Amino acid sequence: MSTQALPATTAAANTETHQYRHKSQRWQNARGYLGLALLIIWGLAPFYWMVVTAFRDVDYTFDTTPWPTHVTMQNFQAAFSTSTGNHFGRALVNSVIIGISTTTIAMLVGVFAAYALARLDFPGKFLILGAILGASMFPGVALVSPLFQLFSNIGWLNGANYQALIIPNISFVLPLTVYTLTAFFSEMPWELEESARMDGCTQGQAFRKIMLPLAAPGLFTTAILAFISSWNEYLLSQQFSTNITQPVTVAIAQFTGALPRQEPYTTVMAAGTIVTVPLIIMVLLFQRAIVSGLTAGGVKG
Amino acid sequence: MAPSTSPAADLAPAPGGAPAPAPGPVATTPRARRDGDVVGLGRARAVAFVAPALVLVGVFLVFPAAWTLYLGLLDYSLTGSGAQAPVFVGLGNYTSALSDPAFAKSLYLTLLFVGGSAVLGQNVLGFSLAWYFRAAQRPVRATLSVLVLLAWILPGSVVAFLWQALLDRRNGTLNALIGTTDMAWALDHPMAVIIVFNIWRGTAFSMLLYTAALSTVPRSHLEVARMAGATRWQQLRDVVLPTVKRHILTNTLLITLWTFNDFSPYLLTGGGPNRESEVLPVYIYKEAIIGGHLGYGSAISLLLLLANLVIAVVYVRLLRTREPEAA
Repeated sequence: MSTQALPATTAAANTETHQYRHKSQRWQNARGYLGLALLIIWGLAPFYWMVVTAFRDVDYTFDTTPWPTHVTMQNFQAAFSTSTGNHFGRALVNSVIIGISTTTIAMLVGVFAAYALARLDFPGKFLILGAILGASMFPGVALVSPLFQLFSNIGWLNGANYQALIIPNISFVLPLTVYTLTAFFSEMPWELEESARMDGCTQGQAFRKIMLPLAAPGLFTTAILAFISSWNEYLLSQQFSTNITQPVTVAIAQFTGALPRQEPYTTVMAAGTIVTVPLIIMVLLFQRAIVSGLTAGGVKG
Repeated sequence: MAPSTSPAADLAPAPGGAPAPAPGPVATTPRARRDGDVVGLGRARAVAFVAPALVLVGVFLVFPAAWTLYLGLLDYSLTGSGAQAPVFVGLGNYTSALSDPAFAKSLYLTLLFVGGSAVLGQNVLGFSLAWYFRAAQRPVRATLSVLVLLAWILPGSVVAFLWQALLDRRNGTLNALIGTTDMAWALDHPMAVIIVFNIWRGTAFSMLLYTAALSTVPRSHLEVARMAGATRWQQLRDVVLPTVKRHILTNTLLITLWTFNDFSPYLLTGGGPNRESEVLPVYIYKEAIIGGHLGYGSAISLLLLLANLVIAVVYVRLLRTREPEAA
């Protein structure tokens, strides 16, 4: 707290500051809670509405009662029902497959690259880091045409070609993975490996037994971010997926269809609730890790 | 301690060129030190470590981006004559883009979108939130970051649907809340809608980055300023802002590029009505994918890439010129 940073002065001055602080602190708390209340409404209203509607009977879709009424589980059954041509269940499985594959491969490739970049100075190192960071800024929509051409030439645009979805996802998350991991590794003192090697470890052992366990929080954070980014990818998946490989983001958007007035609102809300629940749990559990991962690269820049 | 707040490892290329050698007592062999190889990794192994990442990024990111350069010179499309045998049209796609009023309009809308929602909206709101809550209690700050993270982290297609329900003409929540009937928000004010939507979605990053940045401002400096009688606004302007200037630039660059390339307005308004909210990524998508004009779409994509490059270069220059002050 800031009071600890104050240099000790006379007793009188201390008391005065203390009283002033006490008052302003209380005022600040009140203001803080008021601001927070407003923000909660601003931030949560759409989610709240989604969940309320998801549990509401379809005949009361447009009921504006702000709390749950006509509660039913039917919408969730409808979301998973395949009778209307939706494949939400399979799409969920697909998203998990794509997300886990993307995260695993990106982490494997990224850890090695980041370790070398963090531990070894070689000519062109900053060029590589810069190029990697630059690549992460590519507009996704600019890659649709060339990748579409490439993938259709090699016959990846039909059937169960999950790689057509996984590989672009990897190349999208890899730059930030490498960048964030490099930041994490750079922060760890290299004397760690050195003393490990003096104790008789090979470089590989020093990396495996000393660095990896210590870097685990950073790795974990990066993996969460990679998974979330893959889970949420829409534009390329929508182009390169088939009925078999379609992930949830695309499945839900197709629920919504082209005619908004005839949408099965409640069913989509139920599907949306299912898709967001794992992310909400992740945010609640790993909030600190996610924040540190997000700001790791930026704050130093 | 969050790793983000440590200034120990600055990844940005130093203006002088050579990175600083690792600090601390050094016991490595002189040769390894001279090579900057502090853990004895060896050059060959380092190359082997970095290569897979570079290959992946190169083949599936850099190469396709370069390929748009070539595609943009062709009359290449999914249907019609351009599908069978694409004709080389040189800069034809570019000249037709530059003379297309829809492109000019889209560019204008993009600037409006980026300026309104990122440079002003997310930046100012994110900084204000970070500043406002800087001394708040831990539970308050935790709640806040969960909230903004949620908006940022959820899939665009789900979030867009939520907003559609919120803004729906007949039965939307917003109309019910403020008592208006038959107010078609997304039709009457499409740009305002996507700007507010993007602020709502994207403020998380700015806020979190500024929160971390503000924690690097030395408390003693603020105390000194306060003792000297500086008002809160003066403290902000003269002590805080100069310290976090680099963070402001970094943040502005990142959110500018992200917003510039953001496709989610399409999910909310579809670019409509009557192209009133057709920002550049949506324009490219409609031309290339829906319209099937891959060549034309690629040409515009390249213009988008160039715009990104220009923004990045301007940012790097700004960062360099301010370096001596910040240091």
